[in-house]
Amino acid sequence: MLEILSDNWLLLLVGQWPEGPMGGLVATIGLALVSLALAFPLGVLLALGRISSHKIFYWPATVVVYLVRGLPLIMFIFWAYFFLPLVIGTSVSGVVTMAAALILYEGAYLSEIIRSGIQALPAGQMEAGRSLGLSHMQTMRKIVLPQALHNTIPSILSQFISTVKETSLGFVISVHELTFAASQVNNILLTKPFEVFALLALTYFVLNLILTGVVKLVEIRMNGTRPVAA
Amino acid sequence: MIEFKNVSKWYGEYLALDNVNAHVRKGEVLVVCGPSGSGKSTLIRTINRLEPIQKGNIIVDDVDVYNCGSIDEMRSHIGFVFQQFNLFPHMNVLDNLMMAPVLLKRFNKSQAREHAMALLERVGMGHKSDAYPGQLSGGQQQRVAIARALAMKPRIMLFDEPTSALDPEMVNEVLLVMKSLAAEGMTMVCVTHEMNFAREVADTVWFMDAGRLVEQAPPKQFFEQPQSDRARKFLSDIKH
Repeated sequence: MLEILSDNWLLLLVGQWPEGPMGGLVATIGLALVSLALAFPLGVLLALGRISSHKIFYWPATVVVYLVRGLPLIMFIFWAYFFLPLVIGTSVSGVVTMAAALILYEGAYLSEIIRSGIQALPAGQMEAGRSLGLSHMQTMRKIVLPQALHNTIPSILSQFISTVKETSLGFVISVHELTFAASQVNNILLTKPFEVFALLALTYFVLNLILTGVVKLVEIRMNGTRPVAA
Repeated sequence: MIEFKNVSKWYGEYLALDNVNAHVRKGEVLVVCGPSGSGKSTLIRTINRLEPIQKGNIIVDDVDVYNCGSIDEMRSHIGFVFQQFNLFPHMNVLDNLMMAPVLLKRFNKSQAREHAMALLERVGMGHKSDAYPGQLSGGQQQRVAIARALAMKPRIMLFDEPTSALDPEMVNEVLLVMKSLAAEGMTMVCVTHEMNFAREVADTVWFMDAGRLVEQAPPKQFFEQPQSDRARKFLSDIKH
């Protein structure tokens, strides 16, 4: 296994870059980061829709969340792969397709995390803002969301770990990421699938172990820093 | 200045306010009392539309609260102090006071800061302007909450059981601030169980029971010669 690693570490780390597109572990982390960064604003909007008393906001947000929760991620990847080019009228690279699917999927899950954060705040926070003369949106922006998002940082980071794992599904539409790179290595070696895929599993595991450690650290640091509404 | 006209409110089947008719004059200090569940908190929360009503009208400064152009504008002239303080825990004391006046453009930033600091001094919290609400005692938080409401320069102040969540030794510091406001001529509606406050400071006492406004009288008359059996029983119960 060590020999496989020492012969192929560059391919596993960055894919065919700089000759080809960025791939490997760097692409996996990059894809997860970009997806989550863009899924975050979508998640906030969906969360606001889910708690809205206006049907035109509530129903679309609720349909999206229920669809995402009720269907496997790979359905969204297929749809993005086959339909996104039709809809926007131009061909789309695998990475963009994968990112689009991930953004929608993670956005929906983030929205439920954010919604729970909003609803966990005492109703008195919204009432206090409204009583001062702030509108609903002003109170959301200045009072409710800053607290709700702060309180849900650990859950949002956990979702990031899921996202890292989910990028591996990009393999089915030939996105150049870590799993794709490992599969290339396997095709070159031909006789060592067990070692190659054990190495792949180990890489994901160690990466996520580190990220879990980061989440734990953040949780510990957040405990007892800024007081939350009681 | 505040007028209730045939106001009724239901929580589902439960009648929380039963045809309330009354008014509060400018500069009047009104204390609303009554047993728990009598509708006094519900009543005060209807004045700035925190609770929907199903019947009647509430007129504040000639404007129908439940039928007006901008409830936000209306509310910005009515200060509200909560039992649970409801300070914003993610902002320090000064920002709690400055946020709304600056956001709603009542003052520019330096005016708002100056006004906020003066208010904090006034409630004896000037030395805590950098502290976060979680670092303050209940009495301190409530004094900051009063200052926060005053920061918008309201014409009316509403107090919903402002001392009920406080440890006994902190009740007085909050009542003192309320007394000084009353002495200045602020129009105040206070839901409270502090009968000494009612006796000393109130111009009028309203007694509520089962959603109805049973009695309205000056404090002396209310405490010495209550008209209804229900008020007599309430007053004798709280003496013990």
